[in-house]
Amino acid sequence: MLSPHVSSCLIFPFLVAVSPSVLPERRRTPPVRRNTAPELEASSMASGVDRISALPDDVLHQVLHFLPSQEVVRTCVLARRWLGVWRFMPAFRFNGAKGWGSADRFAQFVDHLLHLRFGGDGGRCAPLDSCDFDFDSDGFMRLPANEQHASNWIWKVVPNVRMLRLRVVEFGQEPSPLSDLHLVSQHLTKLELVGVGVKDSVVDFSGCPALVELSMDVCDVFVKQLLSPSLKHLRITRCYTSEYTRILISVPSLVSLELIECRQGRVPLLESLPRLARAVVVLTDDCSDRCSKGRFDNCGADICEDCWWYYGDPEYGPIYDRNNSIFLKGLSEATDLELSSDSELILFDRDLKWCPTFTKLKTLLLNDWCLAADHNALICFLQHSPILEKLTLQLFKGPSYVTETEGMYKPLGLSVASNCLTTVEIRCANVDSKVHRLLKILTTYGIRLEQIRVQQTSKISAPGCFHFVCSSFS
Amino acid sequence: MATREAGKKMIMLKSPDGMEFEVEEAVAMESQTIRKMIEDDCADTAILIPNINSKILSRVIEYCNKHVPTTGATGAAASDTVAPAALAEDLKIWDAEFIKVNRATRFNLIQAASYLNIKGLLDLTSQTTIDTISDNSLEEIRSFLSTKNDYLPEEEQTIRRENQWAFQ
Repeated sequence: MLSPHVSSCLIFPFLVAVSPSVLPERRRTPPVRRNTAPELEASSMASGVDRISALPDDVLHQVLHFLPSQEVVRTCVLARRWLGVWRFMPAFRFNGAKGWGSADRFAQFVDHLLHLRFGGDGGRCAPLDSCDFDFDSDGFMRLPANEQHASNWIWKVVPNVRMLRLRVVEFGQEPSPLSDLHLVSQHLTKLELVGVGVKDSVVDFSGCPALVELSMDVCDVFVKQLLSPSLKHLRITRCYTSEYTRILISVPSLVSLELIECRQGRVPLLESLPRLARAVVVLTDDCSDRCSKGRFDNCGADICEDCWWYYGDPEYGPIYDRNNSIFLKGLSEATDLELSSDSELILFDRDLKWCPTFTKLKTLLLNDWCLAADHNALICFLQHSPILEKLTLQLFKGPSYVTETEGMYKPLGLSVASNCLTTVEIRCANVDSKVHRLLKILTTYGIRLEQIRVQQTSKISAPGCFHFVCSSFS
Repeated sequence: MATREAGKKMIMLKSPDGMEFEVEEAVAMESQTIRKMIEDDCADTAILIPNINSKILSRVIEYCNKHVPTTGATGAAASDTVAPAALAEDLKIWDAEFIKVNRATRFNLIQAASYLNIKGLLDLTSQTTIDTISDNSLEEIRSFLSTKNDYLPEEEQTIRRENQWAFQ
């Protein structure tokens, strides 16, 4: 129910700027309506209690943090109780210039608010819990001048905030660059970037000793190195990286790593991660670490650039050791690992030749790729995971095209899987010949059929698990 | 209220109006405030929850019961067979029903969620309040919030002028 003169305001329609021509009109309604909504009298108002205003400031702040910052400031006109509530908000949310008439007006607002909150001295005040910049809705960052504004705001906020979220563009658009990510803050613990272009040669978070969580989604990450002594959780999803060099990830405190769906470019090079507990890696066909001919080793074709530059391009960066693991070595300390990829991806397979021993690995999830070339990867993992407790295999694709045997991991003769292995779970669309072959392999490695649980996804909504009972193979 | 199950530690919560609620420790620990009490060994017999009457406390427990992560044999089976997205969707629908309460109850729930430090419940109640006051006029919002405009007209005008930078 909108009053006719206030229909333009988005969230709080009453909070439009009051020009002299508007104000008298607003006053046509009784100045202070003491008995407005009848239903109200049945509840709180009947008791004369202004319930929300009776809430302590910190609770009001919690309620208000869902509002864009301009709406929060505008609550000052509600009543005396509300006059200063916004001033001590522990969180700001800036949603772009939409509704402001011009980007300049919005920019002035943010400048003003940040100045009031942090003062001119860069802020000796209490840090904010969180600050959220979302410029996606209106293309605010498309203008270079606004990019400069945004950079200034980030610089002003970063030293005074615990959690910073910066969303520049949504998926499908070119990320906007954010120059110079050499941030310095004693307070920053969590940084979330969406649709940001990171182009610095080295992204160094040494200046943020409290930073523990970094998330990058649909970002351009064309950097040579990512460095943070404190970071514990790193999440890189749907990002674009170089096709010629690998990002060197130097985060010795890392506990969890998520690397989901590279949109382009190569999987990073992981430096030693002694504290790594959990890693989830999901690779798709967009990743450059694949051979168009589906071979494990260099296919030798000039046209297959992905293979050609697998070990680096001297023009762009370092050359990587051909006699060492590129990626798996970095995950060798994990206790919980999920490695999924399209079958034709060669990254993991190539690495198997120098497969490290996963001395702490307890749970492992692999998908179709591990069945390629006579279950090459699966066997390799069974042999290199001495204390594995649970193995999950997700099989949803058709047969693998990779049958190449040259240059891949060679099983070490007869061997048995970890003594600790209690459960093998196979998730598949149907129990077909592929699953039967798999069961045969697993039993060869000392896994008893009663330890194996087959789950058909077609039955996933109902309790579809059953133990596969089978006495012999034909 | 909660029935005692083998192997599950129970906690007694008391409201100021004398009602006692026996809940699983895991459920009570959805509240960060109670979690801290339990971890600091301040919760031997019963925990008195001040300022939250039995009616509101029972709703809070209802919320925590629903949102506590399932564990144990049956829990593991459930999370294995039902996709996380489906569980989240189910919770969302449940939340939407749960929050269909009058505003006095909602404000009480906000206060309780804040005191007990239950982030999910605080977010739910806050978001619902913000959604409700969206697209309403000043007077409607004041009346919804039961907030009386105690400014003199000229005062209000001054405040608007001083804060003009925050208005369109």
